[in-house]
Amino acid sequence: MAILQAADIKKSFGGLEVLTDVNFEVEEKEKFAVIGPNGAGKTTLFDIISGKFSPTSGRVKFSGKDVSNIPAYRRARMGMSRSFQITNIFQKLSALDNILAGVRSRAGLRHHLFRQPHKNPALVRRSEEILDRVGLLGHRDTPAQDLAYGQQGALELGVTLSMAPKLVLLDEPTAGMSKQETTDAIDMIRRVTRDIACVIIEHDMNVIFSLADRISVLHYGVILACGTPEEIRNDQRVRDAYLGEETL
Amino acid sequence: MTTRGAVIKRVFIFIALLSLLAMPRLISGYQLRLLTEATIFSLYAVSFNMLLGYAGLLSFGHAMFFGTGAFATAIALEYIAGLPLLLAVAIATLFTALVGLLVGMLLLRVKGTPFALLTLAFNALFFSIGIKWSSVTGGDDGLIVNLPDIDLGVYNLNMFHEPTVYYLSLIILGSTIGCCWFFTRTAMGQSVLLIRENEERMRFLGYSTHISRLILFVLSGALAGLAGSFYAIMNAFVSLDAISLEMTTKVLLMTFMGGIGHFIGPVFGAVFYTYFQNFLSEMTDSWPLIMGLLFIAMVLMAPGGIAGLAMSAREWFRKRFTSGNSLKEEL
Repeated sequence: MAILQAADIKKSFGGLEVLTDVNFEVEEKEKFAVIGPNGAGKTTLFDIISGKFSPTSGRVKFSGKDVSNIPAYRRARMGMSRSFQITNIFQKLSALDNILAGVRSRAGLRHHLFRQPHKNPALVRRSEEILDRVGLLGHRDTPAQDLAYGQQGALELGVTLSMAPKLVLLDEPTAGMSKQETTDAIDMIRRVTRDIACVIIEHDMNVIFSLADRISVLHYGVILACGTPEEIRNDQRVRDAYLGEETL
Repeated sequence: MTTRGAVIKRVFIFIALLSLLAMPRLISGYQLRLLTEATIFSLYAVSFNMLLGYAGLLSFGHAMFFGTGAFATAIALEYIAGLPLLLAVAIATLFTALVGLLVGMLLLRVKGTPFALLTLAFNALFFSIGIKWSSVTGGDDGLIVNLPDIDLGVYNLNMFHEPTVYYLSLIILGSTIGCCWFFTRTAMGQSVLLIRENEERMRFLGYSTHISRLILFVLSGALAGLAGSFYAIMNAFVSLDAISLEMTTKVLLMTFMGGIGHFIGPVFGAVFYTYFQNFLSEMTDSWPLIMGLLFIAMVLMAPGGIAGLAMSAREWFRKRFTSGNSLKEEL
């Protein structure tokens, strides 16, 4: 069964239709990418899947359950986790505290009036494991704002993984990174999402073609084509609309 | 260094507690009243800072809770015959929590400036209720609080005896402030702080940020109500001043002057304000002018408040007398 289904999603802001009849399915553990030029509606699509907005019409199904009108925090609890294009972490907090925020949420320790998350060895250990996976264990107590740009990207990924999600949504995970940082980030994403379904929005074709199992091309709110990286590379409509000037 | 620092800190706290306990033997009844008032306002300011410093919510209506606590105490003692004093305090605190829940559900839909303005409007509403519903609240005349003795079985505590009121406030309010400090370390307290830092991310991490904020609002209101309840007991009288805009301004001034960036800041602010106001009002009737100027000067020149100044002084001493790196403390 597909873990994520988008069925006939439409979204308009005022009179402007940003998405038109978007349909796709993501299988368990599949790496699914959405590409498209700026303004194609990629981030809006993400916002609808993750629950920031509701679709104007159409359905989002997660693990077979209709979540179209369920708020973001409930979708997060169900196992859907998203990262942000502009790194969206807790800047003043240490790397560990950033991860701990998600780890304790996952354990249900959100509003407890007596228990102290820092004094729960199991949660702290779990947070350290995640820090280790994204290569930041050495920066356990460093405030997020003092980390290098690439490391902040890794921490963003770590926070996204901290909820032990079944599906992660990665919004341009390598945006603004140097070539070396991008290569490292791709390796890391591949490593940490091995057993998780993934939807990735990207601009950078190298990133997409090295990560994705399947690609959808979004063009002015419409899905132009969907297929394996090879099919997309050879699709004439995609070449005309988007890839034309890129060297593939 | 850390162990020595911790020992010094503990010794300091121990001496401070000991001297607070010895105060009734050392100072006059009038001075003791002032200290009781400072204790009450400390809790009031700490509860206010839980909204302002921890959740980033600026309220111009905190006196509605302080006043509700004060009036509820007086009214409960008047209408329920034989009600023990501490039970009246508990009823007043719970009632204020309930009021906080209702007001919070209405107000917390908005943030920022609209929130601040709505709290102001609600404070004015509560004040008008206080004036208009004079059959219950006494209106402009206020209410005399019938203070029963506290029956300890073998011994009766008379609440018109100043040291008794002082000790009772010190123990109950002091330990409540201690609980507030503990609260900032708990899951809930940390969540509030994280929501202030990055609300959107918290939602995507599964936190219902509205509920967190509402719980905090109720808690903060209830604590202000507890402070108000003791205010009524200390004065054996409640007037509309407990629920007035002046009472709201007072907590703002205390909290800002003390420093919103540190847990203990509002306590410094409350103690400083109480004594400084007492000192100024003996000299001149236009003491609010001087207090206002001082407030402006502090906002401009020492935005960290007294706590901020104390931290800088500590840093300076540390740099002078030790050559190692120093730890920076936050909230």
